Amino acid sequence: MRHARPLLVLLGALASTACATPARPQIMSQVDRTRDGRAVLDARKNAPQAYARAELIKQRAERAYADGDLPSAQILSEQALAAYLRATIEARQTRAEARLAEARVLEKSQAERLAQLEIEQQRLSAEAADLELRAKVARDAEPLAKNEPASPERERARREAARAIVMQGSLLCVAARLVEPNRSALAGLATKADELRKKLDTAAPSPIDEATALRSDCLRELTLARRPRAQANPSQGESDALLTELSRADFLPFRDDRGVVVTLHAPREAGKLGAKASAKLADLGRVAKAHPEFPVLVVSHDARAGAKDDGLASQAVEAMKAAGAIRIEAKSAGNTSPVVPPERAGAAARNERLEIVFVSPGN
Amino acid sequence: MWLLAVTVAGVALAAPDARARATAILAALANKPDAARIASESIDKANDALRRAAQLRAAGDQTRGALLEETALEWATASELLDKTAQSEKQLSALQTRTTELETKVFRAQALVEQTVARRARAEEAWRKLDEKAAK
Repeated sequence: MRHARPLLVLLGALASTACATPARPQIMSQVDRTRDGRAVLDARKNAPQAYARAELIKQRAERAYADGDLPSAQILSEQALAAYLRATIEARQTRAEARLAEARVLEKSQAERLAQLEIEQQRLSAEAADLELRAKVARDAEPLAKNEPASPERERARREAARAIVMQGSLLCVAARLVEPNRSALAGLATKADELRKKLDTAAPSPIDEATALRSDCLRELTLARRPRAQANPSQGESDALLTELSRADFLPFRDDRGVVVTLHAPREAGKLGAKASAKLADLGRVAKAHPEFPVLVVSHDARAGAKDDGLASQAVEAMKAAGAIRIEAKSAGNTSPVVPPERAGAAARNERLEIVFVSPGN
Repeated sequence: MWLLAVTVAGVALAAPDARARATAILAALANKPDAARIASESIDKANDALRRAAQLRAAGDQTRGALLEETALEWATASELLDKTAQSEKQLSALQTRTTELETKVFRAQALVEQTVARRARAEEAWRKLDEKAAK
């Protein structure tokens, strides 16, 4: 009996050694750590199916281990690791897709908002330009302080200025006629312009006030001729579009009261329209063909004092017509509107030019 | 005994499928330089599992060979998904950049509209005053 207790302890120890499971493979502990990680916990919520699949594989690994099949337990644990990784990636993918969908909605709404704002801007800009023009017309129509007789030198300068203003008025009236051919007031204004030109050739005091009034009247007529189209579609911005198109084609266009203007310098070669200018006019003729809503006014400016119209503007009109321009008219401004004073060196090269005016039909 | 035979047969039928699918996925990923870079670790593990599976099968252990082929498929699928997710995240980043640019444009356009509203109001006021003056 004294020896029975140690024997029982020994037998118990032997029995427990015989039933002990083999040491847990390292990869199974790795699976446990991965499973408890934040990424897998997130996958449990955002990729539940993939997570459940990984859990099943882990359970299979645990069963294989409990059955003493260590190689299978190791392989299945490795598989479980891959499955947990897959679950975390699926969760990432789900989040990315959700954010992608949100970003698409935001992008669409911002693009729509931008388009709305651009339309709004065009409309407001056109309305502002119209109001500014009306204010200009109203300001021009205000009675001016009468110009008193001046010294001979000043009178000469006034005469030159009056010639230029009469020409500006005439060109505005021609532009108005091109926009609305049947506008009744234009015939009277054309007669008045002829009378002023005749008066400027006499020794009478220069009619500068009448010239200014003529320009103001012609600008008002052009504004009124444009109004129906501008009111029908205030946000059209067609002049802006044409300006952009001509700028892209390197024509260096600019805008004035008449519309969008392109200037061609040194258009003459041996007294008639040169080849270089003809090529550019053909390009502009194609632009005019593509924008039939813009009538075209071709104005030739001569550098020679007292020069008569040598038909340069008409030749330019023919060149543009050949390229497809339809509503087009020629006008010679003589030397009434020099860019730089004629007495300055190199003035002739800058003053002699062709202006191609795409008359704005609306705003 | 019957159960064992059915299980072995099932594994034998399923296993080649797993190997073929894993191989096809890995071949497709090999043609994408970005995927090979992003998922290089899991691609290596998939290839390693396939190699070990072949060794086990050659040694006659069809069951564990099939298990390793399924493991290879698991790694290959994870690699494929990682590539897809990386693409989605890249797309998201590009879209977010575009949206930020659009937001800036909207902000500027809004400011321009406000300036033009003010310009229009000034022009209207000027015209109204001149009109009233002319009417007197």
